[in-house]
Amino acid sequence: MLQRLAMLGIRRGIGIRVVHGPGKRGAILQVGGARIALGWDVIQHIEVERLGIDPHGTGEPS
Amino acid sequence: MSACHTEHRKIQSAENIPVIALAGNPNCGKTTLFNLLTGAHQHVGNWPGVTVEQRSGTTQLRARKASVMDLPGIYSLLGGGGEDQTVARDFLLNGRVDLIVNIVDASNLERHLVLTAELLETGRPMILVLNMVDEAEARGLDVLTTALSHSLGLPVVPMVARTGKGRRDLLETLAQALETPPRGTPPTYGPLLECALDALAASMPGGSPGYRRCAALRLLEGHVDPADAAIKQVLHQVTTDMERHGGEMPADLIMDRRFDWAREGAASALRHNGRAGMRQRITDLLDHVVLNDWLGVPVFLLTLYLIFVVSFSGGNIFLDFFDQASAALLIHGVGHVLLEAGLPPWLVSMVAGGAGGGLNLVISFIPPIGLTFLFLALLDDSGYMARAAYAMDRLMRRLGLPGNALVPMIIGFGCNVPAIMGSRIIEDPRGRLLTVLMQPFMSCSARLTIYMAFAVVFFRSNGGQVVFALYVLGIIVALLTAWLLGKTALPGEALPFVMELPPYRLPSVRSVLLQSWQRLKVFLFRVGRVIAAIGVVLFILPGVGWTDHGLQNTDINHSLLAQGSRALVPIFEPMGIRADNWPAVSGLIAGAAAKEIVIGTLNGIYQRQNAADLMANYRDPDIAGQLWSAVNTIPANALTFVTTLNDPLGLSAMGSVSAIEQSSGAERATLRAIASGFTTLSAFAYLVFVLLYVPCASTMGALRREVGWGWMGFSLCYGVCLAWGASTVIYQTGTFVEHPASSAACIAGVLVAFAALVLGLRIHGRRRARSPEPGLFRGAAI
Repeated sequence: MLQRLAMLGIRRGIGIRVVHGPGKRGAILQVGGARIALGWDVIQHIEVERLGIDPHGTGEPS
Repeated sequence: MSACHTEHRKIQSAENIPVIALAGNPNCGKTTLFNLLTGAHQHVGNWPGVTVEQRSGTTQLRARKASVMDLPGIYSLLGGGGEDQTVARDFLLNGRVDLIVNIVDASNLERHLVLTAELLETGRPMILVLNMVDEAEARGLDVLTTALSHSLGLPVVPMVARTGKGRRDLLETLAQALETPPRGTPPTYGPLLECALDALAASMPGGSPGYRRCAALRLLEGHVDPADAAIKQVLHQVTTDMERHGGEMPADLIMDRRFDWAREGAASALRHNGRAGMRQRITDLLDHVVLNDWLGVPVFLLTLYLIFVVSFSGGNIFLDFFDQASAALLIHGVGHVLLEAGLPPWLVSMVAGGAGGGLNLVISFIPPIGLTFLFLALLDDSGYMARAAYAMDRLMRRLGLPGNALVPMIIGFGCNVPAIMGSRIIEDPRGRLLTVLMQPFMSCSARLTIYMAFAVVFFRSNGGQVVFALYVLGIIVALLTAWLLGKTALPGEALPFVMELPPYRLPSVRSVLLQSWQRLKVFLFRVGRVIAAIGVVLFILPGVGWTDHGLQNTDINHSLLAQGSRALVPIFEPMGIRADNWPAVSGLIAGAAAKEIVIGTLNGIYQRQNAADLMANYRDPDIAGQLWSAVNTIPANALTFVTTLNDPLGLSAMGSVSAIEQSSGAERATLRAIASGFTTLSAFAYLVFVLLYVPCASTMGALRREVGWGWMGFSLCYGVCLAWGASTVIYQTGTFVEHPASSAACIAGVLVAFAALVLGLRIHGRRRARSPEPGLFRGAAI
């Protein structure tokens, strides 16, 4: 799973934008130009740190 | 030893033309580019043992032809993903490839360049297509192609493949690259790793430096085992040295470096101009609605409802045209020509009535199935399907199914064949298998004709509710089947939901039409053959019978159909079919081929139509008149479509006998015969049997193609046994007071058999867990 997430661009230290959720369904993350849907059981294992508002909506940390 | 070395052995193609492989992440536009390059020359490939689609085609590059392979999308050469990704990886590493065209999404460049790094490391000639530059610009990014080309050491072609922008440059670059193969500049890994790579590469015999480096990388990443003891020793040595000096695993160091390399490459090629475009705002708005906690599921169901209505009600506009026109040409026309040519009547009947009739049946499916494929392709192209899967995931996961399993289920209400083929959207093999095995229980539109004929006779005042109950029963049985199999024979959980959501796009007409045609072609040519063959058999059975003088032409009452049906009647007696009602059994036998012909078979038997002059239709057919009549059905059906938009199941026809006759195709005499042959209870049991047993030969053919002979056989036996068991329990429960002892014995027998089935499935599941098969779909092919 870690490899799969890494291949989708979700790696340790990467900047993401939460488009939808997190909730019982899971969450939609924007990573770079891509939106990744993650189920509830996957997001349980991901820890994030709030960085602020992304001015360009690109998923890059502001 | 390694994939790279195997690759070194070039396999000479029979045509000896260069092979160009399109490689890239899923949703980067490979197929669009493939269609752009190959035009109408592509065909669906048939690779043994795998359940993925591959397309190959040819393109003209200056004065030479080149073969273009459209491979399934992959995220990495290292592993992960479904069977389709495995095949793509194997082809890129081991197949004969003269040039890789790596397609990357400019709006998501950093992630796509990670695969580029791996492809560069294979040492194969390569160019980069920077696709979707319009979407990158819409995100407020300026694309610096020259900088990227310099950074990668590769020709880079900026493109918008969907509109064809950049095609000329691409063709020119491809021609040049085949003459002077560019190899690019793969990532470097720092002194420690480079030293290890050099040592490993030096220990390998043969191969170019590029191949040896590629093999060394794969060894260090732990994706292949060294076959040679000397290489194994070097590998152990360098790994130990690296861990002692760096403290990190080589595989982690390599992956980190590739990501850094990709980030640097993307940073050199893209500049933020600070103007986030309108497309981003539209995406945000649409996602806000379709992913909303409350609106997500209703929006999805509404979308499917619309597809269902337009595909099957809209398909009906042209269904009669296809049906009547093909009947005029293939049955009456061919029959006339053969008769005129002096062929014996039995041969004319077999070819025109049997094979022609079978083809006529397949052709009449074209409008609804073609429209279904068209709308599925539209949904695929729009980017909504992945979001719908996310919206439904939580609900379906409770049954052990992935979220997108609901899509084929809904399609199954129209026809089970596209539903089974539509299950390919499910990535997880177990989830896909469960979803495929559910489809035969979804009430297709063909079953509706039978429901209606019986409903008008036995359930006049509440026919709509009975038909609706049958639809609901089908859904319940389908879901319970998936749940049961998931708990016994196919234990496991649905894979954690991880899916990239493609950007919203206006579907490309060309791409959608090509995709739909590819799928329809498979249906027509593969499934059509099965139906045509069965048509011949069904045509022979009512016309010949076993007599004292051997096999002879007989009337229908002494035909093989009647003899066989009478022999089978005792099996169906526990579900309420009386000994003299053998035509009901004949209907079920015919229905195993196609539910559309059940009522037609009953019509033929009850009215002794088969005793009529079969050659009458062939002697002097009015082909032109029949074709004109077929054309005239289009406006009439269009009007019906408009007036019944709010009734996609056609239940409004329950209101009158004439409407029922028209909808089901049953004649009044047939309805009267049905009334005398059944009781209300036995009629309902019969309908339950019709719902649950073999849907049709086409569905079985589609099942075999998607999941192999074994699971198709299971589905067939399971469906027939379940249908018989459920119908018997219904009938025996309803008549329990009349013969309590025999009813109790029947019901107990069914329950014991079901318990035995569950036990058998559980044992099978445990055996599988101990010695898992290499794949779930043995014998399946695309």
